[in-house]
Amino acid sequence: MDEAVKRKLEELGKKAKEGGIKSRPTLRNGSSLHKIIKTKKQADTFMKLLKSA
Amino acid sequence: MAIGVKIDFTNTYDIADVSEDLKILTFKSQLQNGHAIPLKVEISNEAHELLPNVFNLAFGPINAKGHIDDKAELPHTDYSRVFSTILLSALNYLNNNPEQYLGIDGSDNLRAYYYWRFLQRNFEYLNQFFEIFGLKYYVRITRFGKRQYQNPFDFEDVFVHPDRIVKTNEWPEQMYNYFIFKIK
Repeated sequence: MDEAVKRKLEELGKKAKEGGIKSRPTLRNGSSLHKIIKTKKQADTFMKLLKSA
Repeated sequence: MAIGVKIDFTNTYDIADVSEDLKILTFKSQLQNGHAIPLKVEISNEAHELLPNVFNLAFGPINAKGHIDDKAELPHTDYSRVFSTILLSALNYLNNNPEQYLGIDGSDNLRAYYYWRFLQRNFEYLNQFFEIFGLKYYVRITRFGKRQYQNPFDFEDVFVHPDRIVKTNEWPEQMYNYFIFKIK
């Protein structure tokens, strides 16, 4: 990874660790993927395909 | 949404706030009318109960109820900087959670098209950091109805097919509904 990008990530990590706000989630799990995959069989097939893609 | 976005993780907006768990991040984007607007990037707090490593990422301005308005269309002065900041937050999160996947909804056909173009334009750069997948949803046709108004689609039986996004000059056969990022 590029050094400048590494530095950016380190700065962000430091900001989160030292002055990070408490996470107050407002995002509901309403993605289309969450709505479509409803059974364990579908989820297992999907993960298998994703890992082999 | 601008087509000519160039992602560069060293050209990002200053981060106003970031949460301890790296799931929430805010920054201000400069608009073409001279105003600055706060934008929020948020990763869902819980994964899908059947997909324990897949989390959703949304971004946009915050509406009156405090939720992200991911359908808002804003005239940013620097789209490259906006999207570089959003994807930097995804990179930061995945770098600390390498077993997880982050998904972004195409939300509508136009936005899905823009995202695909955007990924193609920035493929070499993004490919250094992420594995990127595009998901297509296929609905099973049960039978053709005898009358035109009979719905032949079984929306309870949807097949999800992920493709690894690669650099191509060809137009995809179908537009992707959802995009997934994983750290390399």
